[in-house]
Amino acid sequence: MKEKIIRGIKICIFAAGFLFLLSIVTRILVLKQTYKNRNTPETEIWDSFYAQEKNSIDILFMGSSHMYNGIDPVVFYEETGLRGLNVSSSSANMFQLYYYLLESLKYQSPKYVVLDMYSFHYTEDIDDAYLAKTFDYMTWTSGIRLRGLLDWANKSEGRSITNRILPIIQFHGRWKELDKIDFENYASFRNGFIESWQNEIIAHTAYDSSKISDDVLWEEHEYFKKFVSLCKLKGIEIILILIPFVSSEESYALQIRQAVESYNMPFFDFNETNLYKESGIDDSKDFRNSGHINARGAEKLTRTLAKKAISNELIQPAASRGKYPKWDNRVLQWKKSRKASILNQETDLREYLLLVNDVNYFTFFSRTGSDSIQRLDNEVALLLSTYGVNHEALFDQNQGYICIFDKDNGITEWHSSTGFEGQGTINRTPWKISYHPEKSLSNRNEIIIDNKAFATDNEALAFVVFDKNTAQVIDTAYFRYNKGTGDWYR
Amino acid sequence: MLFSASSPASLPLLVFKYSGWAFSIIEMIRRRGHTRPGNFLRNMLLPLGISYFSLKSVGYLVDIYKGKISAEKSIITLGAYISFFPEMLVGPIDKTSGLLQQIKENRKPDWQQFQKGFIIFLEGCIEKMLVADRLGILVNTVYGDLYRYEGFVILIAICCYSLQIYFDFSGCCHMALGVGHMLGYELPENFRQPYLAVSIADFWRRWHMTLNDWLRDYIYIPLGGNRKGEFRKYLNTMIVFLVSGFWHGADWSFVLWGGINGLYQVIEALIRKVKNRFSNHQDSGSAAANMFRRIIVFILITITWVFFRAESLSQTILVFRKLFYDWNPWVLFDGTLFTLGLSRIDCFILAFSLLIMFVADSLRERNMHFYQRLLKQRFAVKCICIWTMILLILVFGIYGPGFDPADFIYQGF
Repeated sequence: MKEKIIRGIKICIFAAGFLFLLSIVTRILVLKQTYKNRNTPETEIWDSFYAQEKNSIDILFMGSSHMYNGIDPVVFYEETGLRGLNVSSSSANMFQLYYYLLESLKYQSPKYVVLDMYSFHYTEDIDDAYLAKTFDYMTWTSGIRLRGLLDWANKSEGRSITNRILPIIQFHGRWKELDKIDFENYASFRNGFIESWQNEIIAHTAYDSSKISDDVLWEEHEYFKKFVSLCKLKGIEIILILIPFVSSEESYALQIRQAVESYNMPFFDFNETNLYKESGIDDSKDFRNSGHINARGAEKLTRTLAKKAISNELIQPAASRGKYPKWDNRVLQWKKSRKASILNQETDLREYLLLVNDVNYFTFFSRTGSDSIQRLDNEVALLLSTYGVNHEALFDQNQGYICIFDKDNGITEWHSSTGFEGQGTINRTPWKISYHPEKSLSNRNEIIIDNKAFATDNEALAFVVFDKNTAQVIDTAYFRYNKGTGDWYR
Repeated sequence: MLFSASSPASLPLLVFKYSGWAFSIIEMIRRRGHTRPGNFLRNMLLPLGISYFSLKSVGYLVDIYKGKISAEKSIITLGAYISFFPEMLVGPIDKTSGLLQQIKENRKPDWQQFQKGFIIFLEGCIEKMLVADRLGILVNTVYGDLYRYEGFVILIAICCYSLQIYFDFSGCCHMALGVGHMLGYELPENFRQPYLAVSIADFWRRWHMTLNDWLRDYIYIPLGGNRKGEFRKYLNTMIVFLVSGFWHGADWSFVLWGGINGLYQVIEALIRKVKNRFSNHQDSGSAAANMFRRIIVFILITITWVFFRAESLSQTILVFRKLFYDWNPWVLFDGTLFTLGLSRIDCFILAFSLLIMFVADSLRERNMHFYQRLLKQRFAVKCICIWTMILLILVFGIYGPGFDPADFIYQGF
């Protein structure tokens, strides 16, 4: 009997050890879905999800890509003091969101859920590819993954979930193409928000709230009803929203609105004229494409949503700030990264010069030998003068010119026709600059920071921006002159 | 012999496997070379494992006829013996004195046997999924476009096929053995390191041993074996190999394959006879001499596998023609090998796996088995080794979407 017990224990140890190793190998081999490499961020979202402390989230933001691009939990925290988590997936329908909610409730006890109703636009069934996106990044521990897979399999005959139960069957051949991306963890302080600073000018036509669509959206809503019932059971308040998307799909927006209104639940349709105006979203700056707002638009939308939810007494903001130091740090981090992102996106030379004039930055500026410098407009030249730039040296093409803007310590310039060098440290990071007139035009100026060279371009004004706080180069920009249009462009 | 051939046990085999081919031959004769195959019969589905359970059934009936065993009264026991699932697809072809007796004893596995079976099963998976199927990619690439390749590329492909068929078959048999052990049954080994054979006769004492035992017991010996003079011995040998070829497939290329192997045996026997008559020197069996013999045996057997692999006689002829079409040994070094369906890293894994298999076979030759050594280790070591084997199979195995796990070479028979 004793022998049998020992054997049983050994078998359990063997099985547990094997399953543990299998989970590690599977994690490495499974195809990673990150915004950068595949334009869908499920790996990032779930890594962030499982990185949260248990029961540390007050509000969930759920929906499709509109949601993970549209609502920023860190900004929402800044407005309300409520800790949020964005649990969304590209083209997610209510079947997926229902299981996301079930999984979320195994680890968190949110008081509120904000649900973007664009998901009403999709039917409540998915194919194998979406099944993989939905469940491959969930753990097995809570049992929700298995439950969801079985639910999906039972919807129709002939469905196989073998590849989802053992994704290694589908992905084992990836061992040949593994790289760094397969070994990293993508948990981010943005808590499921996927930041995009792309900008596309679109034409959003907000509609009047009284407008009605003749088309009727499909009416099953089985999983939406389950979603709502589950929230009611757990005492979670639901706020429904519709994040702005372009007007060519107006009929969708109207259909969704009409379908949602039939449930008589709190609903903010940000495609509707008044709310769209209230959000302050700018068609020309705040969309990354016709379907999604960008990070700039997301900040505006999140603040508007927070204010509307508070003013309509749908949420109770936190009584005092400072209760969650980690979250306060996230806000600070976000503000710094926002600055850097805005800098990365800025294409106007004058605006760029204004942005780099910052106490947190150490900006290297290099002017090459091209005659383009003569085309610098007066406004920019004036601005450079206010920074202390030697006008004469700057415009003398026979001299090389490099300077450093440091708002704390003023400007340091080097200019000479015979060549020059300079070096120093910023926060213990070494830097070196040089000008060698004997070299070719494209190699004369050199800026080296922390042993990394930032070569300048012979047709451009070059900026290298070093963030003193993070001790990293956060941006390099080359502004060239377009003789045809007479503009400086990045 | 007649009893074997005419017994009801052979009927399904004859009908399902050979009738289509027989009709096509009759048609060919009738139409003086213009064939119109009997489509209905040729397109008939073959019951799974028909070649294997037919032989077991025939063997069972003959053993009763000869009084070796008495008829089994329990249809369940008999059914379990005939259709024992680990053996269904690729054998081994068990004797009534083996598996049937074990089933009647109502055996239950013990823990040691279960572990042994599991390890052997994993060994089989490695042979099949890491080695054989990987070799198959290269072989299929070349055979799939024969007009494109010649010379050493063809040589590499046919050598790879020799290895592929061995590891495929051996792997599947080890999987069957492993499952048998896990269930408490000792199944017979089907291979004994055949490519370490030093003669053709030795090769056939090591390859598909259970089939050869069956042919010996139910065809060769009833025909008289070697008891009716030299000529009858050689004739019986030829008949056995032709039957073996016939059993492998309903096509002339298989019959030719069997015939050539029979011819090898006969010629080798004659050469040995002549050598013994003219020389009293007994072969020292030195390592160098044995290595030389092994290479010769490998070459001769590889030639026969060309008939086996080819889809038709015309393809066989094409392979040999392309083999000698060009002298291009540089293809071994100029990267051509990495354009035959396997990447550089796949080739490296294959080479490394073959080396491991060779070492394993050499150790088995000295009766040293991996599972024996592993079972003696501590629990932690056993765990690590078995986890490693399973993960190697899962990660590096050739399987997945589009892969048919029942696509064993010998399952086709």
